[in-house]
Amino acid sequence: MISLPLTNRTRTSAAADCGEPNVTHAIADITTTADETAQDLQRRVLEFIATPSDGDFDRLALEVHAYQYRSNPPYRRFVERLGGAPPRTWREIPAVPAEAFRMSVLACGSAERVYRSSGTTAGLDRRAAHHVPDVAVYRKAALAGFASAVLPAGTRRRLLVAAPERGSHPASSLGEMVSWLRELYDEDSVPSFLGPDGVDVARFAHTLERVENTGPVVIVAVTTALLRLADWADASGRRFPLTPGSLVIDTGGCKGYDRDLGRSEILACYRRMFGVAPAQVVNEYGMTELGSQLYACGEGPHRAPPWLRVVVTDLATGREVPPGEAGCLRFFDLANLGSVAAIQTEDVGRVRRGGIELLGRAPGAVTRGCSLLSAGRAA
Amino acid sequence: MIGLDERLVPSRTPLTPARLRALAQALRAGGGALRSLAPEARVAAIDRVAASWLADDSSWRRRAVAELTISTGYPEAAIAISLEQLWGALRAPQLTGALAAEPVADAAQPLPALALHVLAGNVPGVGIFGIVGALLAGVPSLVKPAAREPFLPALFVESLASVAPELQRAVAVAPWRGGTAELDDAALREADVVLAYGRDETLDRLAERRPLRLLRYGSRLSIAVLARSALTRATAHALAQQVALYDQQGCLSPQIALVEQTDRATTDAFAALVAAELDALEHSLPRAMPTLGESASVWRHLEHQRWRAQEGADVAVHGGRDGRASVVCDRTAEWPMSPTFRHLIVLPVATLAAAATPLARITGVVEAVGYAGPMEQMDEVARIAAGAGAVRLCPLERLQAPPFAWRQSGHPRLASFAGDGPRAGLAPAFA
Repeated sequence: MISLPLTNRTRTSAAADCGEPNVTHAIADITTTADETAQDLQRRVLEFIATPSDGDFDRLALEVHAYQYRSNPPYRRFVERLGGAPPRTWREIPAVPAEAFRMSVLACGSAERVYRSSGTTAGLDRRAAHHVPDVAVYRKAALAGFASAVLPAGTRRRLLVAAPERGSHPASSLGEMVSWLRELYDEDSVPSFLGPDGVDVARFAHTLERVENTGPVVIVAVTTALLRLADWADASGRRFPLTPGSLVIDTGGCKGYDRDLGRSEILACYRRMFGVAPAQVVNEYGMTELGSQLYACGEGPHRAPPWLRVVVTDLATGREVPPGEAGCLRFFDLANLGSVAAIQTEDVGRVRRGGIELLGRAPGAVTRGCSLLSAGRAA
Repeated sequence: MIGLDERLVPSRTPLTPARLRALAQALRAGGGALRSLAPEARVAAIDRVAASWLADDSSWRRRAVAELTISTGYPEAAIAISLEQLWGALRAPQLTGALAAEPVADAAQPLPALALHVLAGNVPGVGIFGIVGALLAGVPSLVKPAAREPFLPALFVESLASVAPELQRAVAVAPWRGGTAELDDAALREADVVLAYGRDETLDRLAERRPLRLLRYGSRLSIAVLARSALTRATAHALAQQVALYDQQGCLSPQIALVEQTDRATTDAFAALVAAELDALEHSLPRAMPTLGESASVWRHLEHQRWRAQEGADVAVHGGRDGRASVVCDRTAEWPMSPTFRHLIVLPVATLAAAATPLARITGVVEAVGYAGPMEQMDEVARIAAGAGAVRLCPLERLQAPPFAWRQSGHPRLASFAGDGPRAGLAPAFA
């Protein structure tokens, strides 16, 4: 009964938000920031992200867990509630339900930024909030993951963005990441086509026509923005062939779009519109609560960077399901050093071809998705 | 003529709109013969059918238990209970009583020439009362069984043909995949009245196709109301039994128990007792295997409540290990809803009168109230139940054993066919 579209992250809106009394109060109660252990751990996590070494992961993961147990009161209460023996490997580290990010401030110290999910379907007061005390770790993980899976660092391309950015969506973790990508990769500065009212399809189309044959571009967009562009292009008989070497990076799935398309249909749509092969299309999966991202090329599975581990679990028992069977994804992300590294989601997937095949959300789960941001202005 | 094979599942040839229309035509033609039977003769015929299902050596019952255990996923014990209650409610005295209470023969409005029953598969036999109601009223029926559970309606029609041949031309079962537009439309165009069971979304989609008249049997739930003097082991057992019987999938399944509180300890002990009873029922009445989505919704509920409790909310979670049955006792004003699948919400209230407040949020979706407590408080409970829009008030242990004349989703069993709309208010009998 898995029938919902593939979803990715839902991160949107504003930066450090200390205006809410309950939030500031909770932060004040939390152990103050980085002591020596924290600084040492942060250094070692950053080192691991820079030069991952498989053998060090477990040790580092257990130390991160111990640190979070000490420094994150709701997480400590959670672990104590579960009881049981101390974990011996990262797989045994207790994972909080992603829902907990909607209910408590899960941070090891004061937050440098608070990223919030869009909450479009859950309601504004039920948005997930990821309190991040150390944005440097998030930045390092996001950029290293992107460089390794998508585009090597140092490459310069014209970026065409139809996704949230820091300026328009200051609390969106995706927006933050896209802004970093701009700073590092963009050789131009075409303003985003995603505004407060949705995607500006006409300007997007006009720009695509203008840059035709001017060199490879990188499109970074929420999936629904591209689907709306495709609808407009189909209706007006337009096509926007991209220069060879171009890339299309999408995220967010079909939420908010009027049809639920499979990945192969989306790839066919991009091929029709941009003339790109599946190998030129990368899908990003992330969530507000997670510092790291997974990427899938074409119809391939999503792959996690070495500092993010994923297991597929049976929610009823909490145990891992056999390879190939569907279950819900549980993450252990070293980039979540300042909050909680182990998170159990309701995103459904299975292990396939050395990666994770995403199958959607468990029915009835709170819909997440930055794609919802592109609704509104479709023409 | 309607050949017997046309009523059985699976059909030998694919169903087409033309075949459906022919079937409807034949049923309408059979309506005259049905109405020419005296009401007493219809009662006697149905009573014979019920007796044949209740007989010790009933092959219908044996086959139904075997088929439904597979199709519904419920354990044999649950299927056996459901069949016994179903046919036990369809004996001559109950049928005669219903005819006396809702005379349709002299109705001002002409009876429909054909009723379409669109069944759901959540609880075994959920639409059989409706089909029998149509037979008693003199209305032939075209039955679209649930994709998940097509067997019981087919066996029912088979038993009619065998034991009550005088009724056999008045009912046909035709399975097709819901949402097949041309078949849905053909059936809806033929029917003068549609009795549709299922989720509200499904019924909304049906309503969009503009049937002539639609009787909705949509998403509803039931509640238990327990007086403080009734917080005993026997009540805990009865409540657990009602929660477990169909994994809270029926509109008569209790999802919330409003418990009149004396002191915290007693209420908490009672909630723990219900959880223990539910756990024990796993052996005699095991749960149907949940799908991944169902497991996820249970997990979400339990994790949410456990997290609230951990962070200081006045909530206690009893049971629920590995997603198994649980009882959440909530003293906050959040009043969570059950994800069903044997997860009960207990809301302690200072007095029974105070139960109206939490119920206000679900007014309109409450089907029945099962009560345990002294009769002196019945008036109070009846007021609460009526205020919540319930159509039935009964002893807790009878919650899922409704009488035939129960005004299901507000629709009078027989008078609906004569044009009566749904009625608010409780049925008079406490049974």
